[in-house]
Amino acid sequence: MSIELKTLTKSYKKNLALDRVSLTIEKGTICGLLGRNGAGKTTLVNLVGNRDFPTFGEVLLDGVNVRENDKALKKIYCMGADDLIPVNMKIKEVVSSMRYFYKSADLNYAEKLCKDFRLDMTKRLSQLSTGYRTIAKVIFAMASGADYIFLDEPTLGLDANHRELLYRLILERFEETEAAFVISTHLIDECAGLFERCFILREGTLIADEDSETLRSSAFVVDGKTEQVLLFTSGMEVISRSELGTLSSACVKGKPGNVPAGLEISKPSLQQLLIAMTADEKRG
Amino acid sequence: MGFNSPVFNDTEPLYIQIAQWLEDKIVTGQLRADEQVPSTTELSQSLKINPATVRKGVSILVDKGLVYKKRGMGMYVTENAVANVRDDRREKFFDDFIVPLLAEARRLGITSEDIIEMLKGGSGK
Amino acid sequence: MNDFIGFALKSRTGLIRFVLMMCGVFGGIFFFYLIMLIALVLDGSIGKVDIPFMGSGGIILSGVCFASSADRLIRMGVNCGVSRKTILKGLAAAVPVYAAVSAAMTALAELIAELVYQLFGLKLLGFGHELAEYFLWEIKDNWRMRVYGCCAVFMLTLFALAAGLMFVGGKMHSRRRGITAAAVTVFGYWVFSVNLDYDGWLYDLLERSAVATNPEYFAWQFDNLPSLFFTQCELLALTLVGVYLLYGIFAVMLRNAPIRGRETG
Repeated sequence: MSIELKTLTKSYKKNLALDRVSLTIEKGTICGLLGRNGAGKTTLVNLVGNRDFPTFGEVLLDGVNVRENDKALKKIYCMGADDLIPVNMKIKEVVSSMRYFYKSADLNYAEKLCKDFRLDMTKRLSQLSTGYRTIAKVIFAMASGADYIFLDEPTLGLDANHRELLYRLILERFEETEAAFVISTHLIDECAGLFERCFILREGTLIADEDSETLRSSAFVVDGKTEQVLLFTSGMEVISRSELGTLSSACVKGKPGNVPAGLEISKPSLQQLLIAMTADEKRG
Repeated sequence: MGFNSPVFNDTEPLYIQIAQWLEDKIVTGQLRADEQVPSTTELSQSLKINPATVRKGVSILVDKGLVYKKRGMGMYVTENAVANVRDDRREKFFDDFIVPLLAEARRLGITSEDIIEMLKGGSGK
Repeated sequence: MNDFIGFALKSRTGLIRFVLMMCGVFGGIFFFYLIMLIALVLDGSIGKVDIPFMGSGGIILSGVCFASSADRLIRMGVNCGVSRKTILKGLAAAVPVYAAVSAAMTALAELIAELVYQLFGLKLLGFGHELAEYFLWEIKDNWRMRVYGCCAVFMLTLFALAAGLMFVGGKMHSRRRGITAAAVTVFGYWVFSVNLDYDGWLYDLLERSAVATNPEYFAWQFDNLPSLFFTQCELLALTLVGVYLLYGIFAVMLRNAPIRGRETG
C-alpha cells in the first residue's frame, strides 16, 4: 500500500520545477518533505493531487496512475497554502461539502477539532487570520479520512501552543487511522521527531530519501582553524563549509574517524544538516 | 499545557535518548518497580515523537530487562530495574564522566592531584 | 451516480445557493422597477414607456450567478480530488437543471411583474406580457407560441449559463482569459441573433425534402403550419448547437487548466 512517484517531472516555460523525482510513500508512515522555498515541494503535492499535470513521469497509487483517476484520488487529500477552497465559504459548508467526495469524512471529528482549536465553524475562511485559516485547512485534511494526507506548511501562522496541539493531533490521528502523513515544513527541528522518513528536495531534485535516524547520523560537523579543517576534510565529501575569521565550520558526509587535536566534532541537528545540504553554491 | 518534555539533543539517535530518559526516571525513583510505564501512544503524543521511534526506544528497555509487558495491560517496571540501571551506569561511569573530566582537566592544565583535592572538598588550586 | 452531480444539485453550495442568489436578483429588479416607476411618474411618461427588464435581466444575471456557483463547485471538486472528466460530466448534467430552474424562476418573475403592472393598467411588455396573455386569456390558440416562449427562455438561459462557464473556464488559466472568453461569447451571440437575416432556410429545406418523399401528406401539413414557428425553432436549435459548442470549448479549457488556487497571468 503506497504512493510511488516515478521520474516525476514538471517544467514551466521558464524553469524546471521538478526533475525526475522518484520516491515511495508507504501507508502508515509520517514523512517529512523538506527543502527550501521554491524547491518544488508544493509542485510535487499539486501533481499528486491532480491539480496540475506532470510534464513527464507519473504518480501511482498501488500501481495505478493517479492522474484523472477518481477512485485513487479519493484516498488522497492535499492541503496547501493556496486558496483552492473558495475563501468565501463557511467552515461548516466546506466540511459538509467534503462528504460528497470522501466517503469516510468524519464530520464529528471535524467539529471536535474546531472545538480544540477554538475555531468558530460559522466563520468564512476569508474572515480568519493566516494562522486560523491554516488550522481550518488542516482540520479539513484530518477529517477527510483519506489514506494519504499531504500537509503543505501546516504550521504557517500558528502560535507555539497551536503547533504543539497540531503535532499531538497528527500523532493521535496517525495512531487511529494508520494513514500516511507527508508534511512539508520549515520548522524542521520542531518536527524532526515526528518524521520516520525524510525526503529532501533541492531545486527540483530529490537529494535525500532516507530513514530519519540514518539521515541524522550520516554527517558530522567539524570546527577548527581553517587550515586544519581543510586538511582534515580533504578527500572527504564536504556538504558545506562556512568561515568565521580564521575559523571554519564544515559539515561533512560520513563518519569522522580519528580526529586530531584542535578540531571539534559534533553532530548536526536535522535543520543544520538540511541547511548545509541545500545551501547556495556561492558560499561553498 | 503539555507534559514538560525534555529537549532532545542531536548527539545521539532519538530512540536511544528516549530509552535513557526512561532509565533516568527509573533510577531517580519517579517510576518504581511494578509501576506502569506510559504507553507508546502516550509517550509519542506527549513528546511529539513518531511512535515507531518510541517503540524502538522502549524495546531497548525490554531487552535490558528493565521493563516487561503484562498481557492486555501495558508495560511495567521490573523488580530489579533500578539495580540493573545502577549497575549498568556504574560500568559506564568511567567512560561517560571520568574520561571527559580528564580530557577537560588536561586542556586546562589541572593535574590528577588537583582533582583529588577537589574531590576531598578543597579548591585544588 | 456521479459524486459531482450530487454535489452540484444537492449541496448547500450548489443549486440551493444559486436559487437564493436568483431570488436576490429578482428582488433587486423589483426594487429597480419601483424606482423606475417613481421616476416615470415624476416624469409623466408612465404608461407610455415599456420596461421589459425582468426577463432579460433575469437571464443575463443567471449567467453571472452561475459563474459564481460553477467556480465554487469546480474548485471544491478539484480540492477534493475529483477528476476533470467527472466534473465535466457532472456539469453537463447539472447545467440543464440549473437552466430549467432559473428559466422557470425568470418566467414566473416576469409573469408576476406583468400581472402586477396590468393591475395598474400598465405594461411591462417583456416576455411576461406574452406569457400573461397566453396563459390567462388565450389558452386554446397559439399553444405553439407559448411552447416557443418557454423554450426560448430556457434556451437563452442555457446560453447565459454557458457564457458564465466560458468565463470560469478562462479564469482557470488567467483572469484576462476569463473575461475575454465571456465577452467574445456574448458578443458572438449578439451578432448572430440580431444581425443575421432570418429567412427560414431550414424550414424551406425541411418542406422540400418532406414533400419530395410523401407529397400528399406533407404538403397539407406544411400548408397549415405557420412559418414563423419554424423560424423560431431554427433559432432555438442553433442556440442549442451553440451551447454544445461552448461546452466543448469549456471542456477543453478545463482539461488543461492547472487549478492551484493561484492565478497566473
